[in-house]
Amino acid sequence: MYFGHVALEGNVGIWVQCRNASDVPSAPDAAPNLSVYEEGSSTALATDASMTGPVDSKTGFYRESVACTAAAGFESGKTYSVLIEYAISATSYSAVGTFTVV
Amino acid sequence: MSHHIEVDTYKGRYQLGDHYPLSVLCVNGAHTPAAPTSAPTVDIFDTSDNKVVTARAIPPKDENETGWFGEGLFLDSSFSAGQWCARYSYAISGTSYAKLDFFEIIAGGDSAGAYTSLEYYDRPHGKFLMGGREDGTLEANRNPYLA
Repeated sequence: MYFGHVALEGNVGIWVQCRNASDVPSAPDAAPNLSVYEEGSSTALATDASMTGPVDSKTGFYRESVACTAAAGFESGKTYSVLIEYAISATSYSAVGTFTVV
Repeated sequence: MSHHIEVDTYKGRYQLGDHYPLSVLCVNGAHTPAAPTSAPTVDIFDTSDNKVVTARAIPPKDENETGWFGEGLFLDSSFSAGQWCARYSYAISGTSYAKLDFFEIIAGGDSAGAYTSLEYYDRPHGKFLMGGREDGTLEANRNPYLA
């Protein structure tokens, strides 16, 4: 999934709908974690151990804002990958997305 | 680790006054299109969790296509430039499902939308160009001229 474009020094919104193996929206055991990676790098530029939610009390619906600052290593013109991880009833799931800093 | 088929999508960039294409294909847990129990609904959130559209029901897009619902959503002054997330929800045989769409609103546009009607009135005290906009507002533009 692609989240969109964000200006350098701006905040990008990251959303996830947690689902179980049957694609049914489900509450995760704990708030999802997210990590942001630059292309070609295995080192996370930003991490968040606890996304905000559930948004609007919707089951399994979480959001977080990531500050895309030059100080944190973000650069204009680059696309970044987001890895979101969570567990439902002790089974691990993940979702992957991207966004672009302009 | 379990894996999902990608069901959440990015729908592109729009401006105020555009029509955002609400669209959802209702599928069951086997990813087979299926008729939901009732019309799917959508909630739309900004990046601060403010909800500007609440439980809006979506009509069928094509009745010959099982589970496909959609319509255009006018981007009025409830919206502003930034990122947005649309969360669709529906139920099939008593099981609830949800999908996400992401879209952006960029600067520009006009939250009143395009003119849907224009009428010229020549009156003794002035000339008027009456306009009706997509958001339902009526404008009385007095003594219009070409710059």
